[in-house]
Amino acid sequence: MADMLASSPMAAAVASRLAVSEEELLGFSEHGILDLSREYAGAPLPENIVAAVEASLDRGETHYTTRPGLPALARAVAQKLESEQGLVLDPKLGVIISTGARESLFVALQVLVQPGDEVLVPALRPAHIDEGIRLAEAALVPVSLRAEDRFQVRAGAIRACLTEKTRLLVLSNPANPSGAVIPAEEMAAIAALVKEYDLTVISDESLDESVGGDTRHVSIAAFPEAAGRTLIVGSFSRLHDLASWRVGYFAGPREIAQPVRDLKQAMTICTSAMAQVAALEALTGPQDWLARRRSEMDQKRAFTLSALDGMGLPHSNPSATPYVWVDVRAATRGAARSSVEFTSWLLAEEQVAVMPGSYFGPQGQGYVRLSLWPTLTELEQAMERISRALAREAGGAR
Amino acid sequence: MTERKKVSESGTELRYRMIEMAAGLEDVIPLGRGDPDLDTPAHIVQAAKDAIRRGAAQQMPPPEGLFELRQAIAAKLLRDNDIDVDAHSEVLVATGGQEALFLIVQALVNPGDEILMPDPRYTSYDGAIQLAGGKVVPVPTYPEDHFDLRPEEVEARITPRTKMLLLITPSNPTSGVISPENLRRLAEIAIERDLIVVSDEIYEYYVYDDAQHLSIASLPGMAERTVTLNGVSKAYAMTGWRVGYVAGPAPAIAAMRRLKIVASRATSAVSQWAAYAALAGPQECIAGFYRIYDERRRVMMAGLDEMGFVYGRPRGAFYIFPNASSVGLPAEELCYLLLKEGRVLIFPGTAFGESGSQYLRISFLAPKEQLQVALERMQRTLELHV
Repeated sequence: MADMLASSPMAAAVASRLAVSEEELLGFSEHGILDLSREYAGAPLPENIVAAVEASLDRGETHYTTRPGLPALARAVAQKLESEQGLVLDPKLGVIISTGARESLFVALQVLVQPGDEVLVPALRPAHIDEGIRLAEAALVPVSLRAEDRFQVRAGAIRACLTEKTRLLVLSNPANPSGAVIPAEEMAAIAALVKEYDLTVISDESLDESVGGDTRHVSIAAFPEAAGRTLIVGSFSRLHDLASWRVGYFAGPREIAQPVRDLKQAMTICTSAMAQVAALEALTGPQDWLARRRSEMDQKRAFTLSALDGMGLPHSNPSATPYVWVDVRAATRGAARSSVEFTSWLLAEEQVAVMPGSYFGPQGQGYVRLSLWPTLTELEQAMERISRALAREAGGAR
Repeated sequence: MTERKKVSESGTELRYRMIEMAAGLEDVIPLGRGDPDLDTPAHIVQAAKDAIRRGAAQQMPPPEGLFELRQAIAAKLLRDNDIDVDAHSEVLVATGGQEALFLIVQALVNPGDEILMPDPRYTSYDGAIQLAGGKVVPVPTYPEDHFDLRPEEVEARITPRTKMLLLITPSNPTSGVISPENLRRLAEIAIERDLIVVSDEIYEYYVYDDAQHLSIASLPGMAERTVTLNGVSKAYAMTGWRVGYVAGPAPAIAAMRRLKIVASRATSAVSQWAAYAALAGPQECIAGFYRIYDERRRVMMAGLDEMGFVYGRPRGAFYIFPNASSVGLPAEELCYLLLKEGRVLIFPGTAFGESGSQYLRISFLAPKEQLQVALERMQRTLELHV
């Protein structure tokens, strides 16, 4: 059967341009295990969002929307970016509603680089970024990150990567997987650098709502040096919890947003009308549930960080994001066990699934990413189990 | 700063320019976009509401689509199209027919590959082909054939670089339907010349007069080289939900699935539950839509006859593609005039490829009474200016 497939005309026709593994792209949760690798909550929607979608359906809003998306949603996104980042964008030509942050990143990478260009990307990044750059036939250049900087991207590290071929900088801020938030002063230096070297920036800010405590999320586009050259990628998948609805946006100056919109249009025409209605209500309706989710997230983060401290596992000490980046090298018998092996071991020992750090690039070897989407009770159980497994291992080693 | 890749093409731009201009005018009868004016049937909308209430809409579907939906697609293909596919490995759900085509092209086309496509054509597909570095080779179709596709016109354009034959039957924009006889010959050509066939059948249920819809994948030797594209948008008036699908050999589906993970991860869960209700639920709504579209088609033909337009008889979809050269104005100019003065939105044929400059694409996606008014307005505008 396999031979038959291999010799079929369709198999011969498949353009073999994808290189990374499926697990790198999807994670464990897609394989039926509910776990600490998941990337969204999937909690019941607040009643006001359900009601807004039902009302929209009752009005017969089951048709294509305009090409940039529902005008009211584009305006709401523009207002959000203006009030939070002081960024003034044209809601008609500079804000486009997409089928989620992943579509935004994909179309932006395809349009904003030419074959052979070098794209600077934080060394820790999700695998779909690698794949998007590969499909654009550009070269990914990892910007190294240091644990002592809590994995924040530093202007100096970017500068060290610049060549004549560098065209684009991709930022993830707050960062997946480390939870790092780039402080304003560092961001100012990065903004000056991208201007000096005439780079375009894709700034993935899809975790912006998850910033907790005293930390402030400052977009690179808030700096005048970078505003005219930055495309912001946003999402409603995280705290707004609309991941399964597939809705996000990209926003920037029209000269960048319009060509990217053309590819989005060629790909999916417009974003699902009902998903846009849900997003509009999430953004402009009552916000108390969002504040509640944020404080729940802060609570879960605080618990998890202190549990990790208790186990002696170093971590990224994030002040934002639903992710914690954990150094498990001490728990992996040195180099003898890769982060994939550690993950498999933990899954087998205690049925706790986490994301291996190496899925986020070679620099992630020896680390794992924990997600804070499970409930506090589930996280408590998970920490107990991890602690038990490590204790057993330490005991066995003696 | 980096140079930007251009994937836009003039046809798409022209259509949107006209839609945006129409939005700024009052009392325009929209006969432009292929967006059914009829609403999604109530039982489908109810299924979506139920999926939201029971929490199913909050769960991320797998990239290939909900298994329930893929099973319904496989059952539908067997029932209606005589296509036998495995729901596990040979079906992929996409975010509309447009994403389906995008994934097909990115997965199967390499730079330099040539893609044969009947012309006038739905030029939005050109963007996907450009991005993959492929080249569209238009194959002319003729009003005297009611825009059927002549196999010899295809054969004459095959080169060593030809990778794919992209069929859209019934056709947007011409409403042509490829006859079973021509499809059989095209299948032979595809086998002889080792071509991949992509068959976009999104308008399949709307076929009129004595025209017949046949799925090329059901012909002997074709399943292994055909990817069939379809969706719920046109069949069930569901354009806003964005659900399409692809069925074909497992290696092609696997490649598209991997691309989909990178490009959009999954298709919206609530939309998939609605599509499931559409495909697995009662089908009477299709017959209802069919009667409405067929009646409108007759109204439009009669009106255009009265104005003296020549057209290929629309045998499928919900468009009519008259030749406007008798009016004495280029189609594009005529359409702007009809929009600004007549307040009727119609797309010029130039929005559907270079060869369309003489033509208009009129969609009959408005109630019969509005179509009558639109025809009167067209007549009045023409009398005043021509």
